[in-house]
Amino acid sequence: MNNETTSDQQLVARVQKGDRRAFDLLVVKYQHRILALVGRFITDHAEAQDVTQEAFIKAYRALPSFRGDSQFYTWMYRIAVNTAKNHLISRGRKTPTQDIDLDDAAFFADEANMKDVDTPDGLLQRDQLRAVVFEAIEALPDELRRAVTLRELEGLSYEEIAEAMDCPIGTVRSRIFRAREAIDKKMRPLLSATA
Amino acid sequence: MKDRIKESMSALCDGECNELELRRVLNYVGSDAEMREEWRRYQLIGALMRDEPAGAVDLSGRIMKALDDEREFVDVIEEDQTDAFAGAVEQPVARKTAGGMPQWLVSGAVAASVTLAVLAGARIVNEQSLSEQAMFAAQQPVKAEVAAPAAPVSQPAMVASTAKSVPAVSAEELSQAQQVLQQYVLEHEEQAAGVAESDPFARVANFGQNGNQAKPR
Repeated sequence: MNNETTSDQQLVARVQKGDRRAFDLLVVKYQHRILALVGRFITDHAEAQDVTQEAFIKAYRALPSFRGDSQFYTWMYRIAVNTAKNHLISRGRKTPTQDIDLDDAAFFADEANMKDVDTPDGLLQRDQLRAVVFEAIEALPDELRRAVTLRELEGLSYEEIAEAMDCPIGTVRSRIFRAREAIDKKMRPLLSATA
Repeated sequence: MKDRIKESMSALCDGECNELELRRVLNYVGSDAEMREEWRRYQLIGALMRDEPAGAVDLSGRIMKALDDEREFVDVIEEDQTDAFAGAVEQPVARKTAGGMPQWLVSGAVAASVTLAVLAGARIVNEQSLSEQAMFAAQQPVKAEVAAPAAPVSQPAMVASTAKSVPAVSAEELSQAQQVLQQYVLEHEEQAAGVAESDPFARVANFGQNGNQAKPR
């Protein structure tokens, strides 16, 4: 079980206990991936956003019966695909002849697909943001850069990073947090300027 | 304090926070818009680093609003249904009052009939319990022989006064009932002496096995 799954399971459990704030966090986390997925079916940006919204609402309604047999994202992925297909059928349009494989869920949602649904302004902003993030990472002290890179790019757990960096888990946790804060500080002006 | 919550939030991004931290984070996210934005930016940083779909577009606001609207709509529907149900219940009464009878009279009649029903029921129950008391009282001398308890002075007098309302029982039936009751009392005495007070269920379980015959003491 990877760490993303653990985080999702915690949030899903909270939603199932009636905590809507936890669902809000899940939406924030997955909205862009789901939007990119829906964008493979529906190229119109506004329409894709509407379908993404509908998919999340359906997921929220169905969450009480979600037993956690699959990962939350895989489950959400299925809902989004079905919602997009049903949307096309209801509009009298054809669904893509080649079905999207569930195994591709983690891989297909790449930049190229995002370009299909994002507006030119959105794409420009994304490129700018990405450049700022990597500049900020370059400017980080070595131990912070290593910790956040091992976590975000390599997907290592805190325990594995602690072992790799030969330091306590608490230190890893603190370093990753400080790295995020430093990146966020550089990124924030760009986000507030476009908001 | 806020930094600690942010650190917990950072750990939550990585699936490394405990249940208590999660609750704390959710409390802050629910009450502090800046904390929610922080979560969004942390997710954005990760997505941009991994070159995953990301952008400034935030659908979560409209999604949560749609869910809120839906919830309000459901609440309104439920309220309407409740009102409609209440109306359906009140309707017959309203029709009667429209038929010429004042509302207070209708209410009074209903209250009176309920009171009558309660009184009648109480009378029946009372008669039954009195007849049972009379049966029990008839055995009192037998029990007194076995256990020799100090009989309350008021009880025979009460039985004497209530026995009149009990249906007539023949001498033979009374004698049989006395014998049965005597057996019960004897068995009870025997079993109660052999079983500890802390084990009442064992006594109940053994009752049938030992038979219903009274054993000589």
